[in-house]
Amino acid sequence: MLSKHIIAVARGRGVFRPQQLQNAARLLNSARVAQFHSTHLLQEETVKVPQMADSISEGTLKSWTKQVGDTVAADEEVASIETDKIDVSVTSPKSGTIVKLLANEEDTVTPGQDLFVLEPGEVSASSSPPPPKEETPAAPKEEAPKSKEPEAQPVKAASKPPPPAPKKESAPKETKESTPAPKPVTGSRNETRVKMNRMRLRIAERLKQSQNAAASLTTFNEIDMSALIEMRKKYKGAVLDEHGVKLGFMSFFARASALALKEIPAANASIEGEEIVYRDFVDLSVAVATPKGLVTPVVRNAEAMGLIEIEREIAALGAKARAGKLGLEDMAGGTFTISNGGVFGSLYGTPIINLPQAAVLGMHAINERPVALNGQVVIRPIMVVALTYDHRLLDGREAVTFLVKVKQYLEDPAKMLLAA
Amino acid sequence: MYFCLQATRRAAPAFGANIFSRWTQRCQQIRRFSAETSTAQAIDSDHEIYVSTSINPYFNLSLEDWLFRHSPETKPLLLIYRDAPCVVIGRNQNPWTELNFPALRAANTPFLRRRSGGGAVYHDLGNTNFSIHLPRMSFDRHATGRLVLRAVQSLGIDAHLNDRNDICVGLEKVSGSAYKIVNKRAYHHGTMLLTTQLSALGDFLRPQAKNIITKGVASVRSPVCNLQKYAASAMHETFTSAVVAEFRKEYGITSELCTATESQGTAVDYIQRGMDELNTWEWAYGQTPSFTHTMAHAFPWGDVVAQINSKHGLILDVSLTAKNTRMGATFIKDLNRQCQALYTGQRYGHLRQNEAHPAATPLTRNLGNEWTEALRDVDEWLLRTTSAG
Repeated sequence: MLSKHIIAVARGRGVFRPQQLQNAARLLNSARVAQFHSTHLLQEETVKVPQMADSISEGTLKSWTKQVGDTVAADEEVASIETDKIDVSVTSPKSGTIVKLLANEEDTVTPGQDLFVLEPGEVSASSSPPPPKEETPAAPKEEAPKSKEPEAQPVKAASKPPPPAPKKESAPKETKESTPAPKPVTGSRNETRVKMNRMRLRIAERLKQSQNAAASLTTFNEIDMSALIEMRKKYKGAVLDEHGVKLGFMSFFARASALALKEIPAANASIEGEEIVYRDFVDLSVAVATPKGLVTPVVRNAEAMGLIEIEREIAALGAKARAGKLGLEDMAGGTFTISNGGVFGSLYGTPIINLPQAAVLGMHAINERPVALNGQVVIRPIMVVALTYDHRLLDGREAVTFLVKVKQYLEDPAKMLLAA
Repeated sequence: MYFCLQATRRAAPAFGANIFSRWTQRCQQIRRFSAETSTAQAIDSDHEIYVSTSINPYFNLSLEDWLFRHSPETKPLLLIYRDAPCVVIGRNQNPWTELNFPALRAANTPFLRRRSGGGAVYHDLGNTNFSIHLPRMSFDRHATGRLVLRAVQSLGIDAHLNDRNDICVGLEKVSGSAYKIVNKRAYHHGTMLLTTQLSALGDFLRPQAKNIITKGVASVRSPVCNLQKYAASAMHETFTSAVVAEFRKEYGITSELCTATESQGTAVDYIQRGMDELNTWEWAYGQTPSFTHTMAHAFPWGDVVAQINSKHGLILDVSLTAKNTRMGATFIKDLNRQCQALYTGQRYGHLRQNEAHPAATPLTRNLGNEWTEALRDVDEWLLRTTSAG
């Protein structure tokens, strides 16, 4: 692309004019850039379902006014949602082109759900082919490690575009893929897509919120469960006969936590705006696994309950949860959570805080292990407990002290009687 | 000997083709009677209280929409209007499962599709409509419902709001409501039965079509009564004053009321275009969500069950099955193929009105006489069962 001027200069016939050279260079650069449109992938905007009226939590997407490929002006209607006699118009925040529709007519949609993808700005036909070309070299690389076994992929993960690779990098990668000889694939290449149900989406949202908001870290400790196991063995028959309640470990943990929370009130508190709210009561959220997902019903005023009462309440809530009859009032609130991963056999792990609480206690499996006691090696049933806490509210000292207190109460249950 | 569909169409009774155009003429008549010359000054959107003097439903709905989109975003606005007899269905409803088309046709009463959600209602001069517009952030439909309730109570009537935010006296409904939210504005509009012809209401809102499974929003039917049953003073003027007074009290509005006439309104291009849009097939019928209509008929030559799938008012496909037929094995397959060719893409309820449809051209096939008779029977039957007039 040497201009006539440059050739003339080279042949000694023209005067070298740097300005013209700069212009030529600028032209060359812009010509190179114009060949690919990787920046368009970054400009795509996902528009969400707007808030509908007071306390309306979902609606039905009745019709798409615009289809993929249509252009829209700012504030022009794209879809219509109906709920409870209200017609809610979903409008485009900017002018542009509709790239993708993320829901079908007659689907139930909720406020905040992704609804459609918009490419803002002026529309040109050339912008559509290059982005899919760039996506395909990146996409097979992501698919290859997953292709060994068929996997259920959530729709949300698929709709996120893979990170745009600049053209220079994708070209050598393409050649690298083509040079090694393809090995014959023997396994199935099938994938199944299952749409995430409402509950899973809500759980995912809340967990991420928790991780983003709280400064979480976890402290561990081990508990010698022998005393507790003794006590339980001794009294469970009598408790079942007299009160009709199965005596498990949860009640002991609940009681021990309630006592420790009285001594470390920061672990029972919450942050609201710029204030810390301390409470005199302990509403214990007990994590229950139901076929539909994890729910945490609340045992109110656990600090005033005895062991039998706690067991009874937990059993009732568990039954309600498995029958799917838990109401919003059963699950709202809660100042502290106890989660039991041990029933599935976990050794130790880091539970996630249930916002806006300050901490969560995780119980794990009880394993027989050799421990050192008074200079001797003895076999004891040991459970690892984990306390994930929000460092904004609790310091390391408080969190460790809390866990040590729980450990002391459980290793010597009589101490729970002596507590004030 | 050779069957030509074109001939059948000309000979068919006037169920389909003419009614729609007659209806359009009637609607245009309404427009012509109440419109004056367009040299009148255009209406402005800066007032807070509007009372429309027009009884043209197309005009009133478009006026409401124009005020909704053009008045200042943060100011509350009230509009009161009355319509000549008509039936109004919600944005996402199916007219065939909501309305009695033969009765509407006989009474020459039009139906309109409004822009807000909700169910089907009957308007006449004994019914007064109110429309309250508010900023979306401060929109509370129970608060606006209570505002109208207080207006009714101020007439000396012991009314209350039911759980669907409708005003009732005792067990009977006197008002129906619907809502719309767009960008930064929302409105609550509704009817108020003062001296309406309740027999007409019952008749028009009793759908005749059976066996339609639809995704359209269904109306919730309730027993209704007129406010005048409880207070002799309940009429358009007193109700309007009561609502205006409550509106003034609630939002502290002291500015003057604006009377909107049709000539002032139609001078605004947006309103005129809105009136035209409400009258198009694409809006009135084409907004219908998908539905399936199953129908059966015993012909002399066999029993036929037909299933029509429709979306957006257009026929997606027709499938037929026949029993007890002496016509032979390939007959029903051929019949299906003919019907697909004839009806797919046509407007449900207005078959054969789309002159540009390829099926309007005559079929020149070597069909036996019996088959052509059967085909003509089926054609006439489908036309009769589905026609919306």
